[in-house]
Amino acid sequence: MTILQADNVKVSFKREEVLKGVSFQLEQGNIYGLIGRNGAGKTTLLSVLASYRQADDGKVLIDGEEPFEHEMLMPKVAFLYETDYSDETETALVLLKLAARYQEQFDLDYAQELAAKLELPLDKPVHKLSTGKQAALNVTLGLASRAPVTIFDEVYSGMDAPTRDTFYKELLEEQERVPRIIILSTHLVSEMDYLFDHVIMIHEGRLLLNEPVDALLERGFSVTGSQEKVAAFAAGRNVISEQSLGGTLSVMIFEELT
Amino acid sequence: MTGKWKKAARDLSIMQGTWAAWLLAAVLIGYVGAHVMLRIPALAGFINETGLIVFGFHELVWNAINIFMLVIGIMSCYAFLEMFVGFGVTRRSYYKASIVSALLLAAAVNAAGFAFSPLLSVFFGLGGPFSWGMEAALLPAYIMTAFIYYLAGWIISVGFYRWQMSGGFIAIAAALLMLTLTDRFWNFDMPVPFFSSLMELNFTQGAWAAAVFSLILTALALAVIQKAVYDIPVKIK
Repeated sequence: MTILQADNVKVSFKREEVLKGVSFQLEQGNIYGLIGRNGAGKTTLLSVLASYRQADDGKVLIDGEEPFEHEMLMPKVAFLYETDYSDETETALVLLKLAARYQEQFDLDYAQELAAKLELPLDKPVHKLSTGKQAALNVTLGLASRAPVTIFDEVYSGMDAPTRDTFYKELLEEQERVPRIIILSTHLVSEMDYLFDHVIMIHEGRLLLNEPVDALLERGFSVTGSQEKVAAFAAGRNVISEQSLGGTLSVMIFEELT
Repeated sequence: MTGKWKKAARDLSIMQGTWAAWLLAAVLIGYVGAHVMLRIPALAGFINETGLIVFGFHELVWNAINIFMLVIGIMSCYAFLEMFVGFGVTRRSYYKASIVSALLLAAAVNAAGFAFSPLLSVFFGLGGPFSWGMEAALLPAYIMTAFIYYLAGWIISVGFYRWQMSGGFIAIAAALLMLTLTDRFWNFDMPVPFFSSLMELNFTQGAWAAAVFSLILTALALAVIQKAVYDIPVKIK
């Protein structure tokens, strides 16, 4: 079983500390949702996990070893993000074949099958593809990599709703076929939350929350009904948001329902 | 797994070799075209003014390949480092692969120019008489110089990629100094945009001294690049 561990990871850019000691452990077979506001440090954290940069302090370990510059471990992490393909004159097929040359687990047949499902043309230069198709290429590179640690950082933003839906279904099926650690960093929380087994939330460079989705959902609930009755029920409870329309009130309460 | 750098070197050689083949073809067409135009009285004066025909084919290729090597060196971090690290190749493997592919490319293109020169000279009478002995003696120097041009470009690439403008401009100055000193040692008299005062110097102590100097310069440049590349953060854009 692959285990990815972050131990007190700190990263600074000049004088600004972007990650302030983040620790967690991720296990094979789970899909992790990484959530946080813009500038929270999500992409920096992911780039450390993918050996794109070294942590200034702390450690990242895959199965007990540091992956940075580790010939065997670096290909075990696939990191896909919103890539600027404006200078990429090769075709999507060439990039898939290159990935297959360097990533041992990469499945080229599956990549071509998936590309067809996502309606990704393989014979066109990548810079001529639309943003949505470039996103489909990234998704294909990620899923077909079959890397034990597969990270998607907002790659799906450029895809239209039906293509995103195809991706979500494929992600779940692929996780059934080849269980791995999948990290989804996203702003589309309401659309993707059903995919997550586990949620990691970071805020201002610190880990705010790291829990299984089921446990997290049990920690809060919403109540909707007539203004008077809901207000009476909510009195004295930890209300984190409320909305009212006419005589109806809806409140979100952050505590366990007993 | 340990052979990853070999795969990367092979892929880099094929990619860069393809571009170089286009360059060779363009130089060949230009060179033959210039000689054809020379036989047209209306154009002969213009062609003579360009000075193209005084060069042998290999000399022309050598000038073009040096600039080509500088350019692919400058592209290195932006085009290849990101790609390789994205596919899980270590920075060490990228470094080794870049060196090997650049050396192979410098040798292959110079050898191609060297092979074409006698063909054009003997069979078509282009470019004047060809001296096998002199050209063969200079071939290692040509290869070494082309490789130094690549290293100069790579230093600029690393400078900008890792330290942005501040590092980039220092790297440009270092690269120009490197090229100027190389030129002075080999006495090639290539055009040098800066450090013109150095053009007054004449270090020429013979080919061996120049070769030793080039090797020291190469080792220094490789050490600097290695130091900067082994833990270079890869940008996400």
